[in-house]
This record gives sequence, C-alpha cells and structure tokens, in this order.
Amino acid sequence: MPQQLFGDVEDKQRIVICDLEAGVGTIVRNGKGDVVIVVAEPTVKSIDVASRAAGAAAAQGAEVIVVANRVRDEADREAIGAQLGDYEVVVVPEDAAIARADEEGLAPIDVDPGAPGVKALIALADRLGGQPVKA
Amino acid sequence: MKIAVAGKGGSGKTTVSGTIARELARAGHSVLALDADTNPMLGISLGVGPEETYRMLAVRQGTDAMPEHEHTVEGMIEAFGTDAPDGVRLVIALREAHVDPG
Repeated sequence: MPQQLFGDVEDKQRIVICDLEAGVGTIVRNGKGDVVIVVAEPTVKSIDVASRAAGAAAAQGAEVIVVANRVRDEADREAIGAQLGDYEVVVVPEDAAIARADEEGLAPIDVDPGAPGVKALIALADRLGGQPVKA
Repeated sequence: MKIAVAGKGGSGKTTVSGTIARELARAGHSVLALDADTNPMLGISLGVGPEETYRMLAVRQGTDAMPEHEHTVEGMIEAFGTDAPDGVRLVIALREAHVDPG
C-alpha cells in the first residue's frame, strides 16, 4: 500500500501534497498528481533530473510547474529556463532564512514568512489553493 | 486536488513541499501531507520538529507487527499520521524509509 498511498488516497474536500522519493521513476510508481511541481537547482545534474521528471509528469497528463530553486542571479535563471522553459517556471531566490531553518530543524514559514524564498513559495501555494477544491 | 513534488535529492523538494502545505492550510484548506521520500524529513519543513519527526519514523518502521492498521488508507492516516502546525496532517508513506545524513 505505501507505494500506492498517493494514488489511492481520497482528495475530495482536501488537498493532498506528496513529497516524492528523489529521482524520476517515482513519478510513474506513485500515481499521477493533478499538479506535479518539479524542483530544480541551477546545477547540471539537478536540471537533468528535473527535465526527465517534468517529461514523465507531462506524459501522464499532469500540470507541470517548475520551481527554479536557490536562484542567485540571471545566469542561474537562464540555466534552468534553457532546459525547462517549456513549462511554467516559478523562481525561488537563494534565501538565508531557508538555510537557517534547515540548520535549526525549523519550518521556513515559521523562521521568516517574509523572506524572499519563502514568499515565492507562499505565492505559489496561494495560486494553487485558488483552484477549485473537488466537492 | 493532488500535488506531487519531484526532483533530485538535495534540490529543496522537502522545503517546497512543507512550505506550500503550511500556506495551503493557513488559507483554510484541509491538507494531507504525504512523505514518500526514502529520507523522510518533511516533518522538519512542516515545523513538527526533529523529535516528533524521528518518533514518527520509528513508529512507521515498526508497523510490521500491526498489519491490521493498514487495511484502509484512512486507517493508515489515522494510525500513523501526526498533526503539524496550521492543521496539516502528516503521514510517512514508506515503511522502508531510513535517514541519510545530509
């Protein structure tokens, strides 16, 4: 059951969000989401995994949103956009508050909801939450 | 609605999942967060703290002795879930999960 949990769980009147196992195959094994958020750092390896994950998710009919994570400058943004520009790309800037949350074992939203990286994720969540909830 | 969060290990997948889950709950949605990573640290990014995150993992790994709890999905959510801030319900999805340093 664990592998199918995401596929089987009821999503009427609630939003189910699943932090998948790292990699590409997990998208196929875990069942399709309505939305697949693919997280890419501006590194060759991360962008490669993200590209393949995005392709697998799109082939399943999911709406793909790319989070360009830990972006420091325009070059970082371009590196991710060059490979993943066919999808909607949400930029999450490099953020000291998120790094501090990781170090201290805290939620970034509790450390500083106004920090730039956290704010970008909050904005993405608000957009996703604005979609109609299944009755 | 179901949202899956994918990417290479270390890309910040868990931070993205946890922060979006918390904000969706703050906006009034009922939110179920599933941790399907083999290094299940979503509890940390949701704000339940390291102690509760490790406790959940230990409980999840001990479930071979309690198969009756897994007969239904909702039963599993009830038996193995924990409540995170803002009302997010968190469940570790993989029994074979383990903690990788870093």
